[in-house]
Amino acid sequence: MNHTTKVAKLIRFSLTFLVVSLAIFLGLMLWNNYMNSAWTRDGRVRADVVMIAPDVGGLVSRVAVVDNQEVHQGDIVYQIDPVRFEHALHEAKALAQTKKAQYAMKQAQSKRRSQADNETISAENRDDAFYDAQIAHAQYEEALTKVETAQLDLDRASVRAPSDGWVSNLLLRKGDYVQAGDKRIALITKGSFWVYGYFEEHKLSLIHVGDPADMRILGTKYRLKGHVESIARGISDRDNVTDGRLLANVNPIFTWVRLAQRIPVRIHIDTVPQGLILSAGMTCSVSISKTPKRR
Amino acid sequence: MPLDLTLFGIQMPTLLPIFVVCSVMQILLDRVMSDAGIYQHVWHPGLFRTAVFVCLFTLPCLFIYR
Repeated sequence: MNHTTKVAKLIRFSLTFLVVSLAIFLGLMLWNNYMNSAWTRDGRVRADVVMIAPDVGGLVSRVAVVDNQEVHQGDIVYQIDPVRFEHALHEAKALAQTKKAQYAMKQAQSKRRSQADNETISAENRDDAFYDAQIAHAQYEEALTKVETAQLDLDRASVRAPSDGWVSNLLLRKGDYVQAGDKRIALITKGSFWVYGYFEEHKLSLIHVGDPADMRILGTKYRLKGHVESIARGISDRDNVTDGRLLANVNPIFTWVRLAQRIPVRIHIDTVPQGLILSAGMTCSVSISKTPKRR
Repeated sequence: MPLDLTLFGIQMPTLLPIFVVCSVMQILLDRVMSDAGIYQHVWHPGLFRTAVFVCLFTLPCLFIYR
C-alpha cells in the first residue's frame, strides 16, 4: 500500500513537471523567434513621382490626358495656348531679318571703304566701318538665338511626359492658368515601385543588404518577392525640434518606457504576381529572411 | 503561416485568432481530461492546465515566427 502511494506520487509529480517544462521550453522558443526575426507590419509601397511643371506660363488650352491614364515618354500631357509664343517667334524672325539686312549693309560698307584710297576716306572711317560690320554680325547672331529661344518656348508650350507612367489625381482643367515651374500634374513613373519597410531599430542588426524579403499586401493573397536594397542612414529626431529662437527644444521623455524608433529599409521588388495592380501607398507586411550562405 | 490576417479590412496578427481557437480547444480538452480523471493523477491541476494551454498556443505560433 505504501509502495503504491509512492509510485502514484511520483507519477503525479513527473507528469506535471514534464508538461510544465515543455510549456516553458516552447514559450521561450516562441519569444525568441518573435523577438529575433526581422518582420514588420508597417510596410508601404512607394513609387517615384514626377511633378510635371511647365517651362513656360500661360493659359491651358487643352488637357490631353484623363485621370489615371497611362502615358508614354514624350506624349503631350497638356497644351498651353501657343498663340503668344507663335507671335513671339514671328517677332524674333522679323528682327533677325532686320539684323541680317543691317549686317549685309555694314559688310558692303566696310568692303567699299577698305578698297577706297587714303585721299577719299580717313583711316578712322575705314576702321569704324570694319568694326560696325563686326557688331552687325554679332547682333545678327544674337537675333538668330532669340529665334531659337522663341521656337523652344513654343515647343515647351506642349507639356510632355518625361517618362512612362500614370497620371494621378488630375486636377488641371482647360482654362486654368499655369505659371512656369508650377507643379500641376503628378506622374507615377512606371517600374519605379519599391517597398519601404519601417523596422524597429533593434531589429536592424538582423537585416543585411541583399537579404531576401517576402511581402504580403494587406488583405490579399498576393505575395511580392524582393530583396533589401539599402537601409536609411538617418531619420529626424522627434525629441529635439529647434524652436523659434534657435534653442534646442528637448522633449522630456518618460524615462522608464522608451519606444523603439522605426528605420526605413528600402526593399527592391523582384517579382510582382500576375493580376496584382500595385499602387503607391498600399500597406504590406514585410518579412526578411537571412541570406542562405549566412545561415 | 502568414504574419497577419485581414478581417473586414482590419489587419491583425495571426496570434490573435490562434489564441481564440486554442482557448476553445482548451475548454473542450479540460472537460475531456476531467471526465477521464487525469487531474487526479496530477500534482497541481491549475499549473498543469496553464502549461497545457501554453503548449497548445505556442506550437502553432512557432510556424509563424520561424
